[in-house]
Amino acid sequence: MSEFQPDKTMLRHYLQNKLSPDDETQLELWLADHPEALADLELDLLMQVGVGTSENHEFNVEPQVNIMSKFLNGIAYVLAAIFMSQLIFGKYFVNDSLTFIDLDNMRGAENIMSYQINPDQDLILRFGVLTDDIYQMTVNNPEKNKSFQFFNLRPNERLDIIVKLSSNQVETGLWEVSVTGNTNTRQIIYELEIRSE
Amino acid sequence: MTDQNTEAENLSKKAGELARGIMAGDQQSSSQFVNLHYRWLLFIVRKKFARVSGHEDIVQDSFLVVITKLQQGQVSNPDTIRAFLRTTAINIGYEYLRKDKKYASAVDQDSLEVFADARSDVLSSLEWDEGIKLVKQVMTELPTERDRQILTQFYFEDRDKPDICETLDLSSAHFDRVLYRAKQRLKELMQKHQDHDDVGKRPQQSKPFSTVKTSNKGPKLVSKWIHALIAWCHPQREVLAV
Repeated sequence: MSEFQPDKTMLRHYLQNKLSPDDETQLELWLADHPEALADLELDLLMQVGVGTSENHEFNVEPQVNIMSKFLNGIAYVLAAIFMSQLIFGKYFVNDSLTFIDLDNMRGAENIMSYQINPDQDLILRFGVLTDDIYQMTVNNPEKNKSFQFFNLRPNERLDIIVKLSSNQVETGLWEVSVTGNTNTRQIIYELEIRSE
Repeated sequence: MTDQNTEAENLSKKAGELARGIMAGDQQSSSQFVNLHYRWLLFIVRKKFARVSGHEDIVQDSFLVVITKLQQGQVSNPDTIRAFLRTTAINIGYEYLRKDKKYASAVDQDSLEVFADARSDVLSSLEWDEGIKLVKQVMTELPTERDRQILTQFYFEDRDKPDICETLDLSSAHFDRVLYRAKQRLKELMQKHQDHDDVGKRPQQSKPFSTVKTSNKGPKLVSKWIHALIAWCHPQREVLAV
């Protein structure tokens, strides 16, 4: 028979989860033989949980997850927020000085994609390519007889091509963006409707 | 040796004897084993996994695992059966946490429908939940702010005794008395609420607060459930009444 006998401090630390795993095991096995002490601790536990909820810190019924999972969940939430913002705001990002348009979002779309921009903002166009080729891009607005050409566009390490149009180049209206590779000359065409805020 | 030590030693011996009885195929030993340890194990599970639901699922599955292993002769030392039971419950609890979903009991829900007693233990879950709500309610009614502070700092904020003493300007010896009195006042308020709520209700209406101290209904009913479950899993064995 074990001579183990917890004192008040140990019981208090047990309630507050401050015992070592070995001490906790020893105490819990001791409780199996001491129903009176168990009954007292049951009441303490009830109060502990009840007081916790009374502090407006409602106990979360969802299982706890480790820090890495929380971190990954956090990233997932951020990505989800970005995705939702793209859906809601027309698949472009806006900050104080520029508007970002991801042309890849238009692939497979039947309709012309419409973007609302601030006339004072520069426009960043991004599109992904499949090979490390040299590309050229034409941004054309037939209605307003405006056209800009960009040559020798080399994709970055993520096979993205990024082109910047300054605010004085961008006007509202229907724009056609065509991209052609030097090796693969198949032309990819995007249609953009730019509207003013 | 004191009476308390003798009683403790007897309980410890009894657990080993019941484990041997289960290994020998004695059905009554199974139900007695559950009755003897249900409350203890439920307390451990509730404490370790305070922020999740399904405590009784974890406890019941733990008993099922341990009793099955005993019956199959897979436990080498029956005298340490309680340590094994405790570890099993903790592992099942963590499995629940890892799965990040409602605990999947070892027995499918359709099978549980067969047993009328299977749902009886839900009552003790409700009582526990009602007790928590009651604590929450009476915390706002405590007569002194210091009672609220010491209970909150001790129970919720898990602050150390010296820290609480410093905050509330208490001596070390005074701390124990103040905490004890605050707990007593909380208990009295809970009892008062309980008595008030019971007016007009059926006399046999359960009392969440008092149940925590005295009720032995849950373990008996769950023991019945475990018994029925074992019988269902091992139909060749005769089911004995609990």
